[in-house]
Amino acid sequence: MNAIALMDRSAAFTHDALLYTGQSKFLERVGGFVHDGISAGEPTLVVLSNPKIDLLRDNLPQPDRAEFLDMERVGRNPGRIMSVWHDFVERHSGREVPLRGVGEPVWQGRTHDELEECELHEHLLNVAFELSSPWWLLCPYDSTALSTGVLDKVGGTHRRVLPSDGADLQGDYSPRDAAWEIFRSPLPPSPPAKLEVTFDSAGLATAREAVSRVATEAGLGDRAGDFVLSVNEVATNSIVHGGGRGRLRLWEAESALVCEVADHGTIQDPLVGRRRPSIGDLGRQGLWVANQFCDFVQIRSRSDGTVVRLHMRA
Amino acid sequence: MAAGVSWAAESESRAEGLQEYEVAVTDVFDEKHARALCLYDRRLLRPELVQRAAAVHPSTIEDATGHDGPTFQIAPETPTLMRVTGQIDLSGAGEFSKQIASLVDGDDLVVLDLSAVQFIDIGALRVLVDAVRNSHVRVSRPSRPVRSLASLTGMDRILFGDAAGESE
Repeated sequence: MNAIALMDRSAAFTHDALLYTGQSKFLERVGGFVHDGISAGEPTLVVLSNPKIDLLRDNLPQPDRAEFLDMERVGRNPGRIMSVWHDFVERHSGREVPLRGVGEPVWQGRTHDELEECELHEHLLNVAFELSSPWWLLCPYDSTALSTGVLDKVGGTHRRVLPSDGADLQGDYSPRDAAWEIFRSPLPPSPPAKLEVTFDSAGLATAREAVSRVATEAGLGDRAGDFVLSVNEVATNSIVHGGGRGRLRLWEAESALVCEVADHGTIQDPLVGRRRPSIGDLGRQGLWVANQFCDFVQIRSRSDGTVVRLHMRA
Repeated sequence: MAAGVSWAAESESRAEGLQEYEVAVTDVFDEKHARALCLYDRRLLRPELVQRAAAVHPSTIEDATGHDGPTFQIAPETPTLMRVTGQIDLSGAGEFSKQIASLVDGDDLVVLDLSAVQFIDIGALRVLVDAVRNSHVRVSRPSRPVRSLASLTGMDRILFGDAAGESE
């Protein structure tokens, strides 16, 4: 088996991408990586789609010594994945051994907007874990299924790219600048809104009522309450941090209801909403809640204002 | 182009004509490069006329600023059992903290019944967490919105103890 070797033993966080072609190559390299971790007694968390988890579990000698999570569930909204890794690293903090993870946030069928959020997520991992206790994350990318446009960006988000054949490539990489560039870029234009509401603190209840009405019409059913709560938290941020008021716009996209909340505030930290807040944390907990409840969240902020889009499927 | 529709408030027959008028206007503007804004004054028009407006327009713009905020109430059922009702958001946050603080002054255990809370945001939930941690306040019977937010944020462990989710 072609084992993957750690490039720099002194680094806190190692973030490698693996380009694979086909199931047997995936099994050989990712399976080998997980097996090496388990054999070394390293806590190992594997976040993949369920079919890939089954494939690994069926072929690993001691699958129960690793933890597995369904990426299509936890990573449906890419803004939610970071929290899973934070929890993992924190749960094992203070141990002598390093940790190991496998995460495949990018798969065939992701929309253009989702791919951009995945890219931002991959950049921000480097920023978030720069000073963490040692751990090694391997991100498999399916080079037969993904477009060259997507694969070309992998070197920008990972320090090292392991191709399916041939020599390793060094990533061309400056995560902080790249993360900021995406975070400050505008979101794609939106369709005409079905409903537009300007709100201030006293208008939150009216705004909630309007969102709730549209959410029910759109067939969100049981999820309407969590959607309204998410919108309310983001709108509350607008009032507290964004100049006392904001504007929300609602429209129906192909498969989801979208609510955009805009204000004149500026978010300084692109990691906002990605880390599980401690209970005493008085910070922007609202965006974390929105990330957990919604199927897809986009946050962009510049000196002239902040825009947050929340997507919820029926 | 903008046009007010306050004439619909003048009489019942005029109110009835409003829908017909709006449908006709929509036909006139259909497929044309023009934007028409119909102005509905909530103070003059009956709520059901305003409600209906959303159905006949492709999009609705609503000004929710300067409204009266939602209300909540903390009312005693017995000397040690208080029932919280209504919606608690940013607009009521200051008043909510104040009322909770006034409850925790005494030495007796006070239980807050949360079954009639229709909406609560994180800020207000945190006020409850602090009260439970630092005083003789306990909470019980969380409504669905309370339970949903408390379990997501992990505050349920503090608010309802280990037997938390029991109201499933």
